Amino acid sequence: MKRYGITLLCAVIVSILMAQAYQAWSETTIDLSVKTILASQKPGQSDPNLKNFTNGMKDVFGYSSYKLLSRDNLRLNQDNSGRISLPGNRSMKITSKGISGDRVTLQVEIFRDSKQIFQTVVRLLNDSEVTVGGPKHEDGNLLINIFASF
Amino acid sequence: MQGNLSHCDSELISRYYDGELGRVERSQVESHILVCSSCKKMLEDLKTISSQYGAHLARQPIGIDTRETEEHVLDRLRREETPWWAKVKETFLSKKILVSATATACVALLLITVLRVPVPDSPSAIVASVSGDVSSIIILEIPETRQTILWFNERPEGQSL
Repeated sequence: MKRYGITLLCAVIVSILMAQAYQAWSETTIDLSVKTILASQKPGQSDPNLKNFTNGMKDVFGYSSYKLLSRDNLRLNQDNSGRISLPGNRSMKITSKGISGDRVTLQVEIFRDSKQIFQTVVRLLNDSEVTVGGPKHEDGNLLINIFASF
Repeated sequence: MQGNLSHCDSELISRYYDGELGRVERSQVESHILVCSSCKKMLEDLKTISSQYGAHLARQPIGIDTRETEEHVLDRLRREETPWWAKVKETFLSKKILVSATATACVALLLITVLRVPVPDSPSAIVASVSGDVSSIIILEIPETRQTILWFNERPEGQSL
């Protein structure tokens, strides 16, 4: 009985420590999934992978097709930055400003020819997303969807 | 081995007195005592010693005073307090504490998980700031998916502020 008790106690302590360690680690690390989408008036099929994304978009924007151009995954620690390439000599830089409460603060910057043309600071809930759109490309506009989980 | 003993045997006399001999040996010793004054004297001495010892025991029954020993042991127990590690061991190994600790740990883990769930009514994204070399910026949220969209119109190249 005593041996069983010690084992149980040790298991509980280890579980708590592991949970705390995981929480501490996860509080400083975020995973980002960045989708670059071309929305255009050009008739065509929308990418089936974007079904969830385009559901609400069609009522707001008048685009007839959504095409996934690229998908990038980033893992950022606090104050770390990740950069992805965008069409049209553009790039996007995302910096994690840390997690406060139930939100992560991200600074999103868009550059064209190495010059910053847009920047925003957004605070996202876990497993939620924000979309930055507008840059013209080919016969449509770019939409950059950022999904954050931590 | 019928007949008298050929020599004096003190051990045999002692065993005779204690009633440990068989019929033949007892008969031999009794015959010997009749003719041997030394062995007769030895037997009488044994009887005298035995009776005196028995009388002494009867007069003074064994009485051990245990009160002093008891007080000494109790004093020692009072002085020797349980060590801290033994108390800790006793505390943490009790079934009641183990069950409580396990339940507390489970509740704590549950709370950690539950408290991290976002409040459903709050917006998924809060725009803290926005700026840029752009002609216009629109912030909107799609009602169905509650997705926040920041829409900006780039200035044509060469028309920066």
